[in-house]
Amino acid sequence: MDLKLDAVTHRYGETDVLRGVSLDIPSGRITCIVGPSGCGKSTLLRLLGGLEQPTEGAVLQVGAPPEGCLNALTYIFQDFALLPWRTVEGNVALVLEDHGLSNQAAIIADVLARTRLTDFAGTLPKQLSGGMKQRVAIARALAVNPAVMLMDEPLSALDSQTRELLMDDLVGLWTRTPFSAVYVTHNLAEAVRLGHRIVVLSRRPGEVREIVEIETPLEHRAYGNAALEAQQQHLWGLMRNEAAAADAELLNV
Amino acid sequence: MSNRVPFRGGGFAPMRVRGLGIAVFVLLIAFAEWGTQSGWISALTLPKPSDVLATFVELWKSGLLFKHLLPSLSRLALGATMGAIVGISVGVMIGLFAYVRAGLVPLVAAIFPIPKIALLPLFVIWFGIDEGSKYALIAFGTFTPTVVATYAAVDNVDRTLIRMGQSFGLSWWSIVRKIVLPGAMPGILSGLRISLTIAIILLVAAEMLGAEYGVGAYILEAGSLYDLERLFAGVVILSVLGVTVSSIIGMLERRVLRWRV
Repeated sequence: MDLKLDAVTHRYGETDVLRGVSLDIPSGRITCIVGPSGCGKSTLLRLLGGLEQPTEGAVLQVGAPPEGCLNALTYIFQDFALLPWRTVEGNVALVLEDHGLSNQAAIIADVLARTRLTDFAGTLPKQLSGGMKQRVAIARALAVNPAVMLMDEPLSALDSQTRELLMDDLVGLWTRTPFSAVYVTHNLAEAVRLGHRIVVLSRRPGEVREIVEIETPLEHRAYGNAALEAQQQHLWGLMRNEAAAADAELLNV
Repeated sequence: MSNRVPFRGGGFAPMRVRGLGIAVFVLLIAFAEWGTQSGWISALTLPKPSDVLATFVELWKSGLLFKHLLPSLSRLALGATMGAIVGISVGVMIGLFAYVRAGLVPLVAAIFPIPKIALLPLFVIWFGIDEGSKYALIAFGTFTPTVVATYAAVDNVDRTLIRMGQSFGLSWWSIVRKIVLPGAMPGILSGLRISLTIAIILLVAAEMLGAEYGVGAYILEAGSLYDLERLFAGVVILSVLGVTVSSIIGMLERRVLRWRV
């Protein structure tokens, strides 16, 4: 299933947040959205998942979601959004319970194994580190077999070492079973590491500045790769002035 | 010259001190006993704690203690349960629905400051002079603080968790049951602490106005005879009741809210 943004404009009151954004999200690939702060990246993601309605234009699903998909558009949040009163297992179970599945236990066991959390099934979120919490959230998202994963700065609340580890995890998950994802970030290193296609947004009101395709397969994008470094430099060149302008703009709001 | 950097980070951290609460009780009672024994405090000012204890033992042996305590406990249990259940339900509704909030919050604000005891004659007419009016008074008194605590607690539930539930396509009822209610539980329980204490106050008030048996009736009778030993024995029962209710809620909190950081 593909997603398509058709001339989407979004306003909060008088402020234009997004203006005329048209974008294809192809299935089986990771689309990264980068842009300076306040450019409407997160708003774009909320529009894609139907948590908000665009002021103008439309968000379209092209094709049917895959077989056995319980929740086509599934989010992974920056702050994990785990229920603190449920165990790891319980947090995954939460999103399955409404469907009354007979193989619920098997699904939970499978996703916990894929995210290497099997040993922590019975622990409460307060006992887990940030990286582990985000892995629980990833397990929960995988459990509903989504058509598109919508990731809102999933690594921004983590320290840089945990971030590296989790990026490896995501690359591993993708190479074993490719999934479609929209990955919003302000971190260009994450974008060139995980994105097949990187969409650069301008500062507010957000418009598509440029779309960069990266051909290097995900598993070959090791830390410190020179070609990726160059891509990152190019992206930073695109964003630098926008980011500076956005920064100045915030000061005189 | 070198000086040690002064430590400035002390205090402002809660810690558990065991036994100090009991020590304060023991000291106060010992002081009263000493004062009354030595004649420094006259018998009219304060009864001897040992006499109060003797009265209490007598009350227990004669079987009167339970004759008074059991009706009180059943009134408290039934009235407070009714008030708490209705209060929590209404509070959750106010928290969830804008129309219910707009309609009921002013009403709750209007009935909150009414001393519920003032309404007892009305309750007697509505629910009869027997148990009905007592249940109603206790329930009504428990209801208002519970409502306010509950809707404030629902308001404080982490919105991102609700958003998460919606984004996974959870049903409305699932979101309420599995996200809103557990999230509001800390606030609801601390609200119950207050409303159950109010329930005990109202229990005594209700029993003072027309009951043959009950802790309130016992205290009223003792008071009108200036029988200070019996009065204090009754008051001690109420204090113990309060401490018991508070520790039950404390236990409940430790059990239900184990997930809290």
